[in-house]
Amino acid sequence: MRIPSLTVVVALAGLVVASPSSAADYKIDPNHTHILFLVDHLGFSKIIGLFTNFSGGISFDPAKPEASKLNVAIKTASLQTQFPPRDSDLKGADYFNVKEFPQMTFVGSTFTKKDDTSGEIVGNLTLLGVTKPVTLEVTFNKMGKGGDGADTVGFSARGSLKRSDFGMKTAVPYIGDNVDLMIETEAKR
Amino acid sequence: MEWLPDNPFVPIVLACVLTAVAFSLLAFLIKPDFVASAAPPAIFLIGYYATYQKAPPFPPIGSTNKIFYIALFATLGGFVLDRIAVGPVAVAAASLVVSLLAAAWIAFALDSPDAELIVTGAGLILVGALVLWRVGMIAATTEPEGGGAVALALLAALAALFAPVALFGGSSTSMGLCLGFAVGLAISSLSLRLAPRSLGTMAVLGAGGGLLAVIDTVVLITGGADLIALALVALSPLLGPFGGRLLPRTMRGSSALVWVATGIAALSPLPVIVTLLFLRHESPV
Repeated sequence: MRIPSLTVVVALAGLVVASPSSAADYKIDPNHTHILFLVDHLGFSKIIGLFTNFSGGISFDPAKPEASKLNVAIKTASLQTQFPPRDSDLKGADYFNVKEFPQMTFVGSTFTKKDDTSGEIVGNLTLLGVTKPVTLEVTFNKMGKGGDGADTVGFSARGSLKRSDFGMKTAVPYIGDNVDLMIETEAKR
Repeated sequence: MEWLPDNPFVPIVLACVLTAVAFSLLAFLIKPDFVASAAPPAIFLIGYYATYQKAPPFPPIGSTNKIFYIALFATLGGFVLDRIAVGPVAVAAASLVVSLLAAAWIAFALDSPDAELIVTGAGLILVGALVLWRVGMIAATTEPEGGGAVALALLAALAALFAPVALFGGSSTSMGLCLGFAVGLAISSLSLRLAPRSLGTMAVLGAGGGLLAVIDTVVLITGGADLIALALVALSPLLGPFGGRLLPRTMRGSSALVWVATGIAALSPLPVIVTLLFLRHESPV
């Protein structure tokens, strides 16, 4: 769902880190990025799902952080919850409807720095043809050379949304309306 | 609502049951023929609302939202046909139009439908039209061979038979809607104020059109429905009336016995369908 926030995180990286003065374009590293959601199941526990196919990037100029650009696209058919029949249900018309809406996107619009290692990203999430603002709390973890020698930034992001805001009201409240988001990401350039 | 069990299907079934009971009571106050024909689509629409918790905005985005408007428009179309008292040919044409438009509208959003999906869609349109026409003809005849009770029992059986196909096909939500719809229709078919009369086109087009839209969505959009099991579901409107004819001649005058025999025969594919689904698919529970 709001997974796109990963990208947002990347954007924040730029904000938080006092690095190069010119705009830098980072690409999300899919091998070191995890986009998860947690949703209540009858009050007993939370189901964890993840998306494995996504792409995105951020353009960031530390001199003008407010001008940062962020885009993330997630292939909804890549959803996994460790139980194939449930995956089929979630990918079907009643939930993510992956045939009609094969992609969800997040476009970061506002970047706000809180302190040296944290900030907030507000962006528009488009899911099931509905676009709504979503806010992510982002923690900047590290910037430096990655194992492959590429300039790398790492972030963690957390957020939440109401799936009913996007028209996904099926089985609420048995399957929770509130969806927690967890994003761990590295981006490279 | 804490007294309700933690099961999302319970409110759906409850909503459909209450709607069926409400229409049965309403038939004492308002012209029973109209109420009888309005009850099945009303049960479907209320069941839809309980399932998806919304009356979707128009124009609808996404197939599940279209289901609501397919049922609504088919109901209104049937109402108009009933008002102008058209003949069986027009009803057959209307059945084809509803089936065609339902499948086409639902599949319209797909970017690049492959050959298999096109063939499947064509089959759904054809079989859907035949089912609507068949049930419509039965609904229009007089009891005990046909009439409202038998038509409603056939629609209920169709919904009940499709429920496990939906569950194994990746739509537990559709299963809930189908179960609720089936129970609501079954109660209507038992109502002495609703069932003993012949039903108008509005009843079959509205309720049947809504059910077809659910089936179209599970098959064409969710994409996991077992087509062999679905073919067995489609046999139900043929098997149901056959069950009534198996009764000894002396017993065919009893509408209750005909109803029971029809219902049993219409549901007879259920064990085969469930067995087939368990053999061919991973259990969803």
